[in-house]
Amino acid sequence: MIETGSMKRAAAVFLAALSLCGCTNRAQRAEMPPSPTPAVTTTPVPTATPTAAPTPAPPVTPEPVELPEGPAEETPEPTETPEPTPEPSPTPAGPKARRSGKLVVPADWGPVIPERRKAADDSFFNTSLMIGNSLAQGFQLWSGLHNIDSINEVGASVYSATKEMDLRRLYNSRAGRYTDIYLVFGLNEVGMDTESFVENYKDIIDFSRKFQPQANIIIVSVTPVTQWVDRYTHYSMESVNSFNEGLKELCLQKNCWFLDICSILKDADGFLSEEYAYHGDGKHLEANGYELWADYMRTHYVNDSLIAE
Amino acid sequence: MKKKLALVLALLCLAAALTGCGGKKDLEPQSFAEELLAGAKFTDSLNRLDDAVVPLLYGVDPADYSDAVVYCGTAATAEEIAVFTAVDDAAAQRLLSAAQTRVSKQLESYRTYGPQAAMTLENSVVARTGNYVVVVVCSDSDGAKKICGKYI
Repeated sequence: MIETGSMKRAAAVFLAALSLCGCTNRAQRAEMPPSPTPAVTTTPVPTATPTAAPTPAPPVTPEPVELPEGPAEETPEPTETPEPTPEPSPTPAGPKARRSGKLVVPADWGPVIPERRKAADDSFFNTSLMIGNSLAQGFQLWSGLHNIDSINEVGASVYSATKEMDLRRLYNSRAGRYTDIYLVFGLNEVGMDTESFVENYKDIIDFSRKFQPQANIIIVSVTPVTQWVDRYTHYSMESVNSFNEGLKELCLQKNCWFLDICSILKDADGFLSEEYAYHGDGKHLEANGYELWADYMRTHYVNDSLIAE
Repeated sequence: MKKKLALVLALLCLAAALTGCGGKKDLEPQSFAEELLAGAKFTDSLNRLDDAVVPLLYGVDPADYSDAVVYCGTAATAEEIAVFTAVDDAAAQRLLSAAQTRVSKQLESYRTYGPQAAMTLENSVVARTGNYVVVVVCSDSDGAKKICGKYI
């Protein structure tokens, strides 16, 4: 039988061990900080400019077609020869680029950046900047072109870009820092009026030119949406296509280039390919979509050599 | 003999108490991230981020950490996992501060995406344990916290 004195000593040691246990690891652990409380900032609601009303265009109701009354006598009407279906436009002819001051700008070929004979090395993009929405953020994360500077904000739009985005990287940049500025907007504006969207796009173009006048401004096409999104939400391919046609016109007006990534992301039916779509919302891209976009940029870029091609 | 036996028993109790202290598991960054991906319900497609992008995303100095395991989504959501192994105590504090700043900024950005996105960020885990700094943003915040609680 164990003696009482020994039992007492054993118990004392055991109690000491228990009290030590409460101290040791807690000294290693900081308290779990409370969930971050964001600074309360009042985000001004973008006010519509006098020329812009960011409201969706009302649906167009086709007017009823009045059928002509038939003739009294049964004289057959001359059948009209149907107009031939226009052939798809071949590759535009003419020079692709011209000089405008120090800039290389679109020429007769149009604003869409053509495929180049030689792929650019990734170092070509060391002097590039991308400004835009969550797609620009996804590009920064997954494209593999980590050397492109990026200003991106989830939810950014052409209505908020110059008013709310943190553009310090742009307006603090030294003169001549960037040779190419890519603009990525449109995903958050799809469904709104095309004219208003295009008009407001000018703000970010002009702002970029103000601080980097030597840079090629490259408008990245609005990306497609999946068939499911097109059918069941206001994010329609009709709106995407309308935006992109409007942006091409804008490029010609403002001496900008157009990077047509929409064309490579579409499937045979003209919707965002399931291969690249984030299925959670049918609008954002999976990592492979951004990699495809980057590959496209490596073979569709602007430099002086484009004038001679 | 009996005294010696009592002393041995007491020492065994002491050893057992110390090793079982706190009940927290050792954190191994990659395994921890994989446990989260498997055990909590993320809605986004999370992939491991290239090491070169991590300092751009968090605004941190690569010299402050010996390892960074970061998983991000498609930008459609704010879901994310990050585990930094800081080189020392001061670096861990800087990394923690950077992590808190990132989550705050994300919260401001994602407010425009609706209440779910904001709630996900408000329920995120941003914590430090030893020289590890952990960020977990998951729409299944309960599931994520349950797993984090085993380590932090």
